[in-house]
Amino acid sequence: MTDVSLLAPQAEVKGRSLWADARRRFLGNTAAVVGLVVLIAITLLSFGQPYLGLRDPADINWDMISAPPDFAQGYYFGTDQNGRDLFVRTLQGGQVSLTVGFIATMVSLVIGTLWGASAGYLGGRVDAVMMRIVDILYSIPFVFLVILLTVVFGRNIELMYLAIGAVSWLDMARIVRGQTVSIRRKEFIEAAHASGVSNWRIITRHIIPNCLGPVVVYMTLTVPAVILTESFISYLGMGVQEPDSSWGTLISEGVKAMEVAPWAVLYPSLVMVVTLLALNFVGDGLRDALDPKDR
Amino acid sequence: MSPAPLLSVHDLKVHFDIGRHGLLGGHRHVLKAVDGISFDLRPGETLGLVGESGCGKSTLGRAILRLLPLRGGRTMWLGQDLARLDAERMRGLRREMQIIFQDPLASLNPRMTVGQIIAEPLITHQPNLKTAEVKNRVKAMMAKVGLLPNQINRYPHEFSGGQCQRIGIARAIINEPKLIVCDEPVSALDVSIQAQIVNLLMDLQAEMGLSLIFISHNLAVVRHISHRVMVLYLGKVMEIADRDSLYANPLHPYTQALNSAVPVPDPDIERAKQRLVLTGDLPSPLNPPSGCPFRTRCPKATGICADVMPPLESVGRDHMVACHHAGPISG
Repeated sequence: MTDVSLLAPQAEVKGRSLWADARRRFLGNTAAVVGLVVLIAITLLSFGQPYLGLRDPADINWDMISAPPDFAQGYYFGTDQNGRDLFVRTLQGGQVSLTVGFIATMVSLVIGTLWGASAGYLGGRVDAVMMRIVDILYSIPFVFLVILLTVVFGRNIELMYLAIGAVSWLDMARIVRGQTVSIRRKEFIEAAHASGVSNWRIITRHIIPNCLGPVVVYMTLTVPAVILTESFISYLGMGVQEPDSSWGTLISEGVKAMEVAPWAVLYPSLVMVVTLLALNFVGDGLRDALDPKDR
Repeated sequence: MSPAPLLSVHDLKVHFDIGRHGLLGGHRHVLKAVDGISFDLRPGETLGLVGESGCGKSTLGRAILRLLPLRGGRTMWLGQDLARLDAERMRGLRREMQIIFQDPLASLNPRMTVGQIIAEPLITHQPNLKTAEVKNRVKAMMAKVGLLPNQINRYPHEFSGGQCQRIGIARAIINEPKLIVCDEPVSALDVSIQAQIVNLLMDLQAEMGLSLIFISHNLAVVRHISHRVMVLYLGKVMEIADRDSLYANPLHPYTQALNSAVPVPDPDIERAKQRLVLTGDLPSPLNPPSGCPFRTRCPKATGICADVMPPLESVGRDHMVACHHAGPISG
């Protein structure tokens, strides 16, 4: 055998992890990269809106009520029926819509993954009880829940975040549980168990990192879904309150004025569609990057 | 005589319930994967476990480490009954018993670096160890099993099968265990690599005083590494003996048949050799034959074999056999 000690002083070789491989593939996917750039731009614009020196979203211009886009005066998306700058209001609405998306993602990521991985790994009765809880929550009609919460606690944006958070982790829990069941009999899990590694560490260090492929992909599907849900709730008049806006409220107001001011529905919808498309491209890119064999 | 056993297994049983068919009062199938196995393992000894696929070798190995629930029997580890230990004490004891798997790549977490994989048992049992110390110990282990220590940050998929098995061995020995269960550690490797891994295990055993339970269906490899060999058939011990007497003087017809199936690397001897070819397949373990499980394929079977399971009886120094008609091969 070669004398290993001779070679030991050499610099440590940096391994190419599966994540590094995935990053390389993701960056090679033009649509996904463009989608990511668009997404970052929209996020920065939305949350940077108060600092960009734009008009105040509540400013009313009495000379321009329901006016079409006017680049000379800086009304890029036109104004609504109250004479407010639609461009600024769309950016402001993005804050709510993107926050909803972010919260739902975080909740489903943290609670959903841990819940699903624990149920799948522990198995047996624990699994049955945990997944029945998910089933029960799943069976509560979401819109009904939101209406009930609104009736009891009044219209409140935090409440909507709560309601969306409460249901968004259910799908994730199921997906992760399925993944976990398929990998918990793998030998490296058994090896960890045989070494005396605790269940918590097996779940967090061995199971969750190996489920992360589908999780990341599903996350990018969750975001558009909850943005649409928020729009739907706001459209029903139970979400965001004036003078705040979200993409859902803007579109719902725009629809009312569609015949006289089509831009009021067109532009906010366009921004939302672009965001969702970008998210879907990013999701596709991530799926291809993390699961190259499914291409 | 011999020192106190490290591990003493008595009448070990592992049964699996294979679902019920029918809603009410359906018949319940029980698979007796391991059915009443007893043996002692001495410190520094290698016990080879051989038998056909599905005879319960791997199940036995896992049951000893309490990775599977027991249906009956006891495993005494240095006088302590493992089944009675609470989960926390058992986790502590796992430091002293380790396992090496058949599929080297599947036994390594693909998302962890080699360094993290090898360090895991160490960190689990000595959480206060400094990071630099852990790294040094991991590198020392890598050198010991013949890996380049500078590859500590690489990932399992960047290694060959033999190297992955070395990583698995490094992980198993980093806590200086007393027992390693080797579950067919070489059957997924090339022949040349098999020899390297087996020799590595033997070197480590000599150096660290390890006891090994070496599971394999390769009789030649088992002969090379084992001190004693146990032959299993459908979850029962057929014959257990020290290596030399088992290979030179097998007394159980099943052992004789297995032995005669090993190819000899000399064409003349190979051609002249008298072959004991077993007919038929392994019976289903869900519905094992009555009496001796081997009787359906045994050339010596008589009426008594169908009625009474022969007990495991001592027939010489360190040689036990379970057969009504035990005896050397006769013409």
